[in-house]
Amino acid sequence: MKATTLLLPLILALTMLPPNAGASEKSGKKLMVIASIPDFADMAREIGGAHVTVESMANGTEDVHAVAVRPSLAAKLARADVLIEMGLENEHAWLPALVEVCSNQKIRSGRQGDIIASEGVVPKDVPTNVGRSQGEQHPAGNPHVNLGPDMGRLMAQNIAKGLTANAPEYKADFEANLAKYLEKLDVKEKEWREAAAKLKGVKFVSHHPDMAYFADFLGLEEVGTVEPKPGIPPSSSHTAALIEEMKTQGVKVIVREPQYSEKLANEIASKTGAKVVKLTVMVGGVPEAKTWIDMIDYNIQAMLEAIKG
Amino acid sequence: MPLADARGSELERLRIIGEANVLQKLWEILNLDFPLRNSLYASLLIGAVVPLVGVHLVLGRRVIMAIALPQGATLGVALTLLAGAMCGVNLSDQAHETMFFGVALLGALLLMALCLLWEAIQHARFAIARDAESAGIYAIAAAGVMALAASRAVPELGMLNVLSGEILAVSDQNLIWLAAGMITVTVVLLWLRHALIALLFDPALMYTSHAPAKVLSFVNNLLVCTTIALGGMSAGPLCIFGFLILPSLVLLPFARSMAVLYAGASLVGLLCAFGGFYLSYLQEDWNVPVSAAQLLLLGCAVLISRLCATAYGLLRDNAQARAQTNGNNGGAAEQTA
Amino acid sequence: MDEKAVSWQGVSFAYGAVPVLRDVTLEAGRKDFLCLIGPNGGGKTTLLRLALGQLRPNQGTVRVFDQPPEAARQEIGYVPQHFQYDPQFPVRVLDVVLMGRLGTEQWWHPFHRKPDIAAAFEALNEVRLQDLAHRPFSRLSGGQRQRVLIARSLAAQPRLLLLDEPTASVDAAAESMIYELLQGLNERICVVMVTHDLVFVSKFMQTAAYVDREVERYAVKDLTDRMLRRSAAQG
Repeated sequence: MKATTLLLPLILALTMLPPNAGASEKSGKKLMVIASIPDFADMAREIGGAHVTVESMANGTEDVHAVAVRPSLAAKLARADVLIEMGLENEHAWLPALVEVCSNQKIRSGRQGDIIASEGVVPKDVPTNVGRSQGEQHPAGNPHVNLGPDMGRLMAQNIAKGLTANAPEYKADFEANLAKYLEKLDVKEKEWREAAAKLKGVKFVSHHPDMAYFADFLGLEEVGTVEPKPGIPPSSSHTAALIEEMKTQGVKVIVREPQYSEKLANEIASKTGAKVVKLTVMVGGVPEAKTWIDMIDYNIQAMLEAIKG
Repeated sequence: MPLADARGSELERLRIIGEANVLQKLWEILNLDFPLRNSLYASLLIGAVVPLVGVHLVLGRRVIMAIALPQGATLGVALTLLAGAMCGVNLSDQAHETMFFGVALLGALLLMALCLLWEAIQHARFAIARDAESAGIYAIAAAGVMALAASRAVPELGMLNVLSGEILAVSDQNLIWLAAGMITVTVVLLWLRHALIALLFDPALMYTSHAPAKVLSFVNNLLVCTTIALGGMSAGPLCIFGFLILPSLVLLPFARSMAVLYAGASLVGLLCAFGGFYLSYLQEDWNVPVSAAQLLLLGCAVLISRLCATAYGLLRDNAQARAQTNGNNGGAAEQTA
Repeated sequence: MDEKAVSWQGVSFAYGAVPVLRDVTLEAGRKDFLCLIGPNGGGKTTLLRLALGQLRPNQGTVRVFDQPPEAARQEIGYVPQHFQYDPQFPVRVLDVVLMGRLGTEQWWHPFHRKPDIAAAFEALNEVRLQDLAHRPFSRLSGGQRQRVLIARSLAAQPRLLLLDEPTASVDAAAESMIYELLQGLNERICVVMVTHDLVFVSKFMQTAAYVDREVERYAVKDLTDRMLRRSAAQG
């Protein structure tokens, strides 16, 4: 009798407590944010602050179009409140299947939990001739928006908008964090534009056509790619023609992305007198690129080094 | 000009342009200034030498090892990169290219030696079929490479493309290593060919003779492994596998002696290596990789060989049947007379 | 004193835990023709493998021309019971016979030397196949192939010839040719032969060694019905 007299009120009191009452009222429930690439994970952390738990699916050194699908990714997506992806079919080869398999209705395409970071961008390189013979095309345009130094603002705003839609109780914090981030971006963009002056008109080739937004901002001129068509391995005739073209046009820079072979880039460089410069296409692609701002800094510095001497 | 004539002259014009293009491309390849000359030389070296070693694999019925060993070599190279990373040396740096080739070759040879040793022990101890052991080695080695690649422990994911071998990207260093290795393999193989052939033909005899059978077996394996390691790092495991096996398959129905088999396999390999390179270079729209073009050409050679062998067999059977019939008819004619 | 070509003195041998030979003492002189008969699993092939040095006895000693078998390999010619022949192997008859010369000191030489070729042709002459020297080995009949293998074993000019059922897979005509050949060879070299062919043994041999874990040498006429039945039934 005595035990139940003591226990019963305690049990009743516990059941009547509001959920998560153990947490402080200020922190509330954290949003589980899964980003397709580390760039968005970085921005989500900047904007989300203490209100988000963020993970990235790609690790930065992979081919963004061919991230290895592992069961752990499906498990992450199943727990997600929000998915941030690039859009423009950047992740079309691996992400839709994972979203399907994880059965998380919140993050399905078109739902509130699915944030498209590139929403509102005017895409470059929209193909006029679409077909398998043209390689692995992106019919909606070049999806490597994250490499554009001037694209940070747009992506951050889209992410902020998406986080707010999913957790309106934190709107004020998200807006404050976004404002701080945008201030940082303003300062950096100014620096980058100054650097762009030195890079204007510099001709280069890359392995894959992923530098469109980067080149556009800096005034670089892309002469060709090592791949004859997107996703098609280099052939002997195309490589020989590329070497001749580089010699004719005086191209002195070959951009190598980390997921592609250094060997071929070095071999082309030795035949043309060009310099191989390693640029990363995602945060984490090189050790120096720990954040999106670091990544753009690194890429621009690498290009500046390449044109020296 | 009448329409038919106009069309005819247009076709003629295109034919002339096409021929000119074909000849021009051939001339470009043969020119000393050809930008991909290292790739061409590497292809020719592989085409000429790898089939010689392949003869030993095919006759020794060790073809399955030609699938397993390249994977073992690949894992060896990946572990070399990992070891370099753990010692703080980034072997992907171009400054380390020479070191990389030497160390990677050692890593590949070591892993292949372990695969061969494992297979021999399992076969001796448990009487497990060698091809089953070899297939197991292939699967495990391939999985090991995938795991290393996914772990980010190996520096520069792109470096692993070295393991898939891009015949287009043959640097001067790479070519020197390849040439030195292939020439050494050729000299040793041809010098010791009588003993090595005897070992393949009748291992029991060799192990009871005065000749050092165990040493010869080791040399045989070393030649195979060195060829696979060097060739694989330049042209990739699939290309090496094709050149190991297919030229022998072309010649086997016809070869009456080992000399013919060696020379014929090497010649077929050389011609298909050059032909495949040329076809890949000629095609501007199709973008067929060099290795694929070479192996497809070898495949055509095997098909032609089989057709010729079948026709020859049919011709011989017909001739024998005719001879028999004539003999019977002659007998019958005698009887009638 | 007559030098012994091969002698097994107090030899015992087991494959793992399975005993095969127990305290065997047997010898053959330089011009002897020794037939080993007996049931399968009796240890006949094991005796040959001990003489070749492929196996080491658990007890006792084996000597070949008064040397350990490994040291005397150049003196021995061997024709195995089972020859795993691969028909796709493009070798000629002469190439096969020349393989027998690899046991000589210059096995590493890249070219066949004149003495090697001469010895190979001499061996082919002995087996009466000199005209087929350049024929592909795959085109020979079973009996011809067996004679080529004998020629191969003779190419090294051995003083002891070990044969393990040399007529097991040949027809009667070839069999008789091979026996005739072996008797001719026995005029200058010792021949030790494992056989189940008791017609040959009873017709041409005076003595035979009956091997069934232990060995006894018998005059052929003293071989019992029981031994003959056991030997023939499993041949």
